[in-house]
Amino acid sequence: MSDIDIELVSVCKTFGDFRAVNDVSLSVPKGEFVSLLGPSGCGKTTTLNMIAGFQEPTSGEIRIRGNCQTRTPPEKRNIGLVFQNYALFPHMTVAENVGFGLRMKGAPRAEIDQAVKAALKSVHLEGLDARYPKELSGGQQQRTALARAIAPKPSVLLLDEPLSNLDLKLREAMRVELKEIQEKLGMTFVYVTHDQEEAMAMSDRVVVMAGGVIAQQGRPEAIYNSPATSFVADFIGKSNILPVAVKQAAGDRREISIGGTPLTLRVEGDASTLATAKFCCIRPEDVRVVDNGAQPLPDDNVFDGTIAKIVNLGAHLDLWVSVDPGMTIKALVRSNRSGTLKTGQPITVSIGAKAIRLLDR
Amino acid sequence: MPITKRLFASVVFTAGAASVAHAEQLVVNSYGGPYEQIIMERIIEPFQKMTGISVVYDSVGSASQDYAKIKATRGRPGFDVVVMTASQSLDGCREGLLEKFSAKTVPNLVKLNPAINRIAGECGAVHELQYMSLMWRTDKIKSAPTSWSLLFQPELKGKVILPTFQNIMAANLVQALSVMNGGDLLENVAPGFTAMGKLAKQTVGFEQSSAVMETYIKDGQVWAMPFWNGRAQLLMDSGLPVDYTRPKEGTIPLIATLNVPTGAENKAAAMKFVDFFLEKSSQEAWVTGYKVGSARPDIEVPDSVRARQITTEEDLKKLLLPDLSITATKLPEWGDRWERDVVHAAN
Amino acid sequence: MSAVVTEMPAAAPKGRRSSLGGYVPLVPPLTVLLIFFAIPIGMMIGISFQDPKTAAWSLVSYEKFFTDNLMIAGLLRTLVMSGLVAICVTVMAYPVGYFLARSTSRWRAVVFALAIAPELAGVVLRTYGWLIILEDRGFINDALIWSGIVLSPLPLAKNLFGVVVGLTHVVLPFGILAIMTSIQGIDPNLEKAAQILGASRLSVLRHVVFPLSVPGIVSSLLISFTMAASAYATPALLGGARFKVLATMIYEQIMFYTNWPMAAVMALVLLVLMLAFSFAGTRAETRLHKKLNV
Repeated sequence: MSDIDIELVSVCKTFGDFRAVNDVSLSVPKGEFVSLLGPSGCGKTTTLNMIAGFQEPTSGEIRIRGNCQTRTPPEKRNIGLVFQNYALFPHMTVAENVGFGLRMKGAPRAEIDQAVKAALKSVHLEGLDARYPKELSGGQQQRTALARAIAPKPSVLLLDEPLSNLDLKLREAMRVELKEIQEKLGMTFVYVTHDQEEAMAMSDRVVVMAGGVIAQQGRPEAIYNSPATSFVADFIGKSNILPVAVKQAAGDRREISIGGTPLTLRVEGDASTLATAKFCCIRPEDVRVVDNGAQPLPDDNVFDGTIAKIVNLGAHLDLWVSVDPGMTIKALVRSNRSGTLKTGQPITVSIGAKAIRLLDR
Repeated sequence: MPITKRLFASVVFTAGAASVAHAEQLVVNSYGGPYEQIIMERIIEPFQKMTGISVVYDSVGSASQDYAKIKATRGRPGFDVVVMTASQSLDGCREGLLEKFSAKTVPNLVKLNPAINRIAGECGAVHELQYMSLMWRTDKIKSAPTSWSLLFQPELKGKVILPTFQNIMAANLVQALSVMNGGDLLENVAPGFTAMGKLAKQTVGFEQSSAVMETYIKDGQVWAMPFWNGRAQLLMDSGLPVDYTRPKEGTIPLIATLNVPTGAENKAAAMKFVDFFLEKSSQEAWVTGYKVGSARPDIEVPDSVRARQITTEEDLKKLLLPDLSITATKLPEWGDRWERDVVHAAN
Repeated sequence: MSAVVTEMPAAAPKGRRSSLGGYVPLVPPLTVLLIFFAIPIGMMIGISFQDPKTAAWSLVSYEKFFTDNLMIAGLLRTLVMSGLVAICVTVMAYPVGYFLARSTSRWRAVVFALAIAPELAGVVLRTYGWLIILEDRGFINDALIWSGIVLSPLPLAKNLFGVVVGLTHVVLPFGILAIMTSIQGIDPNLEKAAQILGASRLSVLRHVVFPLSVPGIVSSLLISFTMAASAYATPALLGGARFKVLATMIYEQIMFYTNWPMAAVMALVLLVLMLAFSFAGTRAETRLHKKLNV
């Protein structure tokens, strides 16, 4: 009856002494593209397996479309799954693969053929019906796996790192396509990945997992801009994470000093956040290089340093600036400056007070 | 100095080797089971004590299997003395695979009844005589039978056991039944096969070795069967309620021989052994131990034993004795007929 | 009879200069094969063309073998028995092989040991064991008669049934290994994929596992067939005089009739048959692998 397609209620999974998934609760509304993001071993694949039904939770409940399905076998759950290695049936043609789900449902021949055609069309694989999986390229195999999963029209599609075997260009193209397909079909996608760029690019909501628990969940921008913990800050995007030593609040002014250095930074935020702050997080793109072109704002933190390292990534430069013997900050600088910057060169950087996030863990 | 030392060492070594060689060895191939016990006790141990030759006993193989081995190894089968039958003795002599015996090498040979010994030829020393008896369980068959026809009685359906053709008793049975039904021992054996075909319907099965056949009558599954009389007597003596007889229609004797392959390693010791086995005392011990007959007419045996064994030429004359070399050549043809007429009739 | 080598490992030449050198490591095993295999087989072929009585060149043994209905019956019996063993072994090996390939339970090691351990007891011991169980006064018949189910013993030994039971038991571990290896080679995700698409366990087996395990099935059939066809001890003990197969007939020809030419003919017929089956079997396996795209 609800709008919620998938609901996990306090789900735990232990293997012997090891807690792979520890009290995870999650609600996925219909039509959402949600990513389970985290490093290897964080419990995201185990969670996916439990939603699919390949593993049973040690405790907790799993509801699919409002029905409790904690102990239902996978074949009765009516959800789709795209495997990391595609798992295409090598002895069947593309058409037979894609039609497999409907065949298992006992649908009539004509209906199967029609659904197969439609599914192949939506993944841009028309004309390849009679090919065998080993005759397809990686990208084509991936799309066939997708078509196979969506052909029986499940309301939920699970995807287990489906793009990890593709090269970068293809991966990026597929990201766009997957999102398009998801929006067109209006299907709920639960996407497991360790690639945060991927999760950020496609998801309506990102669920960051670590050590079997959810570290943070929310819209991609929200997580990026307001990471809740240093782990999330470090995992999503690139950041500088610096330990906070002494904090001072005097009237309007809030200041923190960075542990191990004499540096003091002005920050914004309320007193309670300041009181509990243990780390601060600064995105590299918020570290501006000060020169004749750019002027720092009055509230900015400005200090001098030396360029310790430059990595030229083509579109931009990663600069490591040594501000103090104890502190190296990474700055993201646009490439048109590449010619003018060299290692060892002194440089002035400024960081806006607003750009410094305070974290309590 | 060093040369003298080396010389001394080699002399000692050779002397030592020679003395080791002096402790002679002999490999005797015969049968296992009760046979082995008796031969050990009555022949082999006394022989070892008397000559100091150590005997290695090999109980693997029936007479025909041993002969196949001798043939395959061209007379070098690995044993020095073997117990086979007159049939293999004749074959092996002709093929040059068995040593010829003479009065010089085996002095006791002349003590054997010449007619009997001639049957085995120059390469066989007859050490034992048996015949194929009809054995029955006295607790299941009340009146003592006198004829092979017992086996054909309706009451005995499923209570008979027959040998496989690889056991020489099978061919002998065909020959005996052939004579019983108007045929003969060698050429006109058709009546024998016809009778065997009928007998096949009576049998519980076919077994290869005497040892296995014995188990059927021991546990009472079988009530009557053909069996070598020596073994039958042993069973009787062991307390089993059985008895055996020489059927009135006649039966075939088993002329067992000692043979020495031409490639035997310890020929001198082998000849000594053969001679020892044919000694009066040994033959007496053997006859009373294994309950068989002997080809030596001069041995002293209790009358009770004499009554049931072949011990004289006359005894032998009363049996049906086919020309053994011709029998041997007929075996492939008869084996074929056995498969068709007998084994298939049993199915 | 030991397994026949139908393929030789190919040596990869390292370059034009050492293309011959690449074959050097093959010399020792080839020499062994030549001395202990090729030459004796050659001698056996020679013997098969001898007249049993005169040792002159003759085809008499070949003629006899192929025209005598008893000999042909023996050949057919061998083929039928081997075929039945192949089927029984494969059917029984399949579930066990599947379990061993897929199971993660703690019983896996136990089942594996039980499957392989009987081999340690040796063929003769196990065959005698079956004789004791199957014979007329054996365990099964005793139980059946005692419980009144039958009045007289059922013929379970000394016939095709007894031999097939005994041989199936002896050959089963090899079938299990063949099937297990084949199923281990099937990506477990395929079964999961089928499941999530709505296939019941039975459908998964039918549509995914079984078709992809056909090469393993062929392998199991082939191994069982050739092992059964060349078996001696089990048909000798459990078949008896009434159930003769080529192996026991060969033994009889050598040990009783000392007719070596006939024995050689029979042995060569058996050898050629098994070579033919092995060849056909491995061809089929290769083709199947291609067809299944694995």
